[in-house]
Amino acid sequence: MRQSRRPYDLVMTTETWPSEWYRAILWACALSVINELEDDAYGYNIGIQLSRRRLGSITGGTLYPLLKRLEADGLVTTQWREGNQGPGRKHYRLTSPGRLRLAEVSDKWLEFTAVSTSVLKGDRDGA
Amino acid sequence: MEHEEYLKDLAQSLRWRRMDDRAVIDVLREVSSEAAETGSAPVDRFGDAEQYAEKFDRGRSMSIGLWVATTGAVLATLAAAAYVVSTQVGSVPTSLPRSLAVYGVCAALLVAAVLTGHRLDRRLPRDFRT
Repeated sequence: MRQSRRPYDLVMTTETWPSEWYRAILWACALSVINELEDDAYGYNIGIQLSRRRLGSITGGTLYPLLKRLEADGLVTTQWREGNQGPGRKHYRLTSPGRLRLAEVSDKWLEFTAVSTSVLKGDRDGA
Repeated sequence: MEHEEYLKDLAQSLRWRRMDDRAVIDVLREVSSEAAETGSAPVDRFGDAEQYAEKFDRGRSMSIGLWVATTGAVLATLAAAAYVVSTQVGSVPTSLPRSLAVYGVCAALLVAAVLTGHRLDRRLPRDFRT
């Protein structure tokens, strides 16, 4: 059954980050959300969850090509599931290489942000 | 109707990025699914169809429309080139009306091929159901 509300509108946030930052990390955030959502990981829901986590409103025009690349890179598998009505939903699931890649990039990103935060704070000794 | 027109524009743009029909159907279904979830027009969620298609990696498939357009363009160019060569070597006498007629036919072939190709590729894939 389709939702009558429009959650995208409800969760619209005011956060807007530089597009370079999105390009660097949005794919990994999408992997993380897919991993957390498990059986509910379909495109629309992934977009909502990313928005709810203050990443800003991720439009379909940005999200779906990114998901397609994750699929092409073998980081996720997909499956169309028919709904009672309408065109159905495409569900995503992390593959083993996807889980590995997510763990790797999460560690490296946390390390990188710690280092860059330290630099921005003027800490001369590093993080 | 607006929804279907968007899907047709998108199908054509994706095919001209040489994506095969299986991949085209997948993208069209995603657009339809998102539009159904949000109740929004596809153009509001995905932007202009041609620009949206450009966000996907190029494929290696040759659609029927692209084949028709390319073949027509090649034939038109070859016909014009053959006429130029034949007038240069003197096997065909040059005259303005004849040249205009030949180039006109070549230009018409080129335009017809591109338009036909465009029309063929704007059709929704046979296996696509909204």
